[in-house]
Amino acid sequence: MKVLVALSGGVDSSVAAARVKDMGFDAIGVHLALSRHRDLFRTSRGCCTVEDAMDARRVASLLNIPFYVWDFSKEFKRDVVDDFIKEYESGRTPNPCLRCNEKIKFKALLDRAIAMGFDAVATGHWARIVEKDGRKELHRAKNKSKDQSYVLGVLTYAQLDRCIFPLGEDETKEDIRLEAKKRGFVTAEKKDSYDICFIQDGKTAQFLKDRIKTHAGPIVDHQNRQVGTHDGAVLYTIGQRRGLNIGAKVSLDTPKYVTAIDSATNTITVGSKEKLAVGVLCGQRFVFLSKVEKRLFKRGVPARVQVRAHGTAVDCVFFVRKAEILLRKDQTKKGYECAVELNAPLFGVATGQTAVVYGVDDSKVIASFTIDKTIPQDVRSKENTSNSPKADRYKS
Amino acid sequence: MQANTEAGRSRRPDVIYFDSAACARMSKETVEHVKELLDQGIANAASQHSAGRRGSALIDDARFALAQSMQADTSEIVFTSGGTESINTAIKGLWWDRAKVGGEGPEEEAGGRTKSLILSSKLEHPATLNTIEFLQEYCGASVIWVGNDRSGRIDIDDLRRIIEKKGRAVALGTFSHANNEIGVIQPIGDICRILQEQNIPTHVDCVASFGVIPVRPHMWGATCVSVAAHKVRGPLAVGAMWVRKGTKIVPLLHGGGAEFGRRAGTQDFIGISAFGKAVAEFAMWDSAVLYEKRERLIKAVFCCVQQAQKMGAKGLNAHLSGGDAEIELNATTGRVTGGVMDVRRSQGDVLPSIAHFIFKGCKTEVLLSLLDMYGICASGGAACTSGVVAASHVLLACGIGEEEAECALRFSINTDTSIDEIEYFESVFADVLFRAYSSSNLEN
Repeated sequence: MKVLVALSGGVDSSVAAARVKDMGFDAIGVHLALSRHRDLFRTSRGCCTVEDAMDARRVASLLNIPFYVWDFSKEFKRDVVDDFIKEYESGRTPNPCLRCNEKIKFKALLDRAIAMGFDAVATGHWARIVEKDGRKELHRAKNKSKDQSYVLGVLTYAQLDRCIFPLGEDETKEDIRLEAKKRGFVTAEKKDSYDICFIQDGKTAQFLKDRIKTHAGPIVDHQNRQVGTHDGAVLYTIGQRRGLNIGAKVSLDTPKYVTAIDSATNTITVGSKEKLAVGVLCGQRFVFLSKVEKRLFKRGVPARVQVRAHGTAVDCVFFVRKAEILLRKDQTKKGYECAVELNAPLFGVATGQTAVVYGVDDSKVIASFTIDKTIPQDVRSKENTSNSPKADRYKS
Repeated sequence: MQANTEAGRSRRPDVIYFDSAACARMSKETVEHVKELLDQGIANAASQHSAGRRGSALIDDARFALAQSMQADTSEIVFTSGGTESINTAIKGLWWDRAKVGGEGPEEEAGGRTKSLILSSKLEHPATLNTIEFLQEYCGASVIWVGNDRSGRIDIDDLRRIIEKKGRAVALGTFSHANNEIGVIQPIGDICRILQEQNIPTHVDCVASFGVIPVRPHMWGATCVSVAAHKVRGPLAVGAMWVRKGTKIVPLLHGGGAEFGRRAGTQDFIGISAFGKAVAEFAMWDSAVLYEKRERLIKAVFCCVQQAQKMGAKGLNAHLSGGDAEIELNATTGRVTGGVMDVRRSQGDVLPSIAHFIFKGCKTEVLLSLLDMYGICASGGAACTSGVVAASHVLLACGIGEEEAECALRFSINTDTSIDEIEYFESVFADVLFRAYSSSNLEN
């Protein structure tokens, strides 16, 4: 079996490549160049610098496997960077790492690999693929604190079917570093990459400001009274507390958070923490990794949902319901959307974030959807008249 | 991807090397020669004892071999550490000597220097382009780029017009004899003559052409010529310059008096001697043999394109770069236009060592990866330090769009290229093309 290993130049993918080779597969290492202008990338935090490419090559040569650098900068710009900007422009909060997995690593790269004659793509993600009754399931990594199943939750079954994640069963990161050291990899002591790789200095607001035309606008409270001004509604995130230009008196009463962003009217609404509480999350863009059960359309299934890469999952009821799907302006069609009804409220969930739904075991990924609507906890409480959810309870 | 076991395919040679223009393989004889010299030990060729004399004698032999190959005098040959150093020395050395503050000639804007202008083309190797950029940035040089046509040939009329207008301000002209990527041979005699008429020195970059077609600097009327050993089946990191007798060149490296004071530093007499041996070897070759191999390779490529089209790569198209004969395979009709069977028509226009193609619909990086998996070495575009294969500046300078330029592939051969290699290549290349085409044309 021919396996393409995506080598970022970090320690995880280095060990993943070594293990793929140990498994007896015909391994080939590929480093993705995600920018034509490498100097745009920071050198200490990301995973896309020239130095990283050289580290990846060094690992491949130690493993004695072929190594290539492939340029996916155009695809990355279009599907990840531009999408990131566009999402913010529309007042949503995207997760670019997730988008990169969905569109680049497990789409552009995987498709190319298959067309070239490879059987699978392996990465250094911390997650497990478990085969049950002839069907593959995506599970959390054994080490929950390193688990990356959330950012893989957007994969389709066809994509998952071609994936290998050799790191899912490991206990600790130290084990991986130790193994890398034993194998003589230069990457053994390398720091983990974090934050958004294409934002050089980690200053997201400035990055957006340089690329989106923003205008000052009003900050209002829940009684629609203006309490301050902002320098562009799209630069804010739901749940944000710091950097709000509101009078000391207003903020001193009780801490104020961004509770709503209206990009159309360039207005930000602030309120107390309770106003951030959401009870239901809905999304029309969804992917199912496990079979779609009939009861999803009726009473729903008990599940757990996670809305952030480093967050924890919370109990919920997951269901699918009929909805009007917005195509273009004023154009809709009949379709379905996914929704989760949370047992306890979540705070500061923004549209654009991805909800990954796990089974009650909090391990198996059932589905994922991009949140395009949240229903506040208080609204839900008023409407909630029965203990069991009904698919048509929350009208679109 | 070991295809050699499949029925109907040729036996696979160990490595199929079609990248001689990047670095040609050393001959067994030269390798043996180097081993022998290493066994005998090293010394400083400048030393006045027997060990030193042995070194200087070997350098003299090599200098003689190079001089003979260029029909030049031994005192005109200067050994360097490679093509890049030769090019740097020639351009900077000529410019520093001529572009003086307060010298004769009309003043250019920068720093009151006279004769600060450099004439060159956008088709040149980065060694030339970046040297010029350095002189512009740090020394006040200015440059005029002479135009070229779509096939990559310098526009002589444009050169004449520039000389007429700006001739008196020109410090030097620097052009390549043949392009290292697409193999197009320039009318270098005409270029040198036009410049010589105005007493403008010309540096000719012969790194790609040396050892493949005759290099005749005296006949051309050139002032400086740069060559490199690893392109003529010699060792790495050895090069040479031919500098016309009586030419003043400011040296790049200062130190002892080696190489007639033109290049300081202890000479690597083993490398230089191996270079001389390689040059003596190629002097016996006839370029017609190379042209035949090139023709065989081109036919194999077009044959494979047709096969790949039949396999389903409907939109695949191949175009042979350079030369007068615009050879193209039409995807819909499957017909070759421009006379593929008459590739010799382009003899004299294109180096016999290079066959450069644009495979419309196949990305270079995918082609190169697939070829490598089959054990075939080729190249395409310009790889940066991180390994990304970007569109070649040469193709862009020829007016080819970026998208097409990202589908380029260069096969380069040398005297050691075997028919076995070409046959094996022919047995797998249709598959490579088909896979590359499929993976380059995915829906997103």
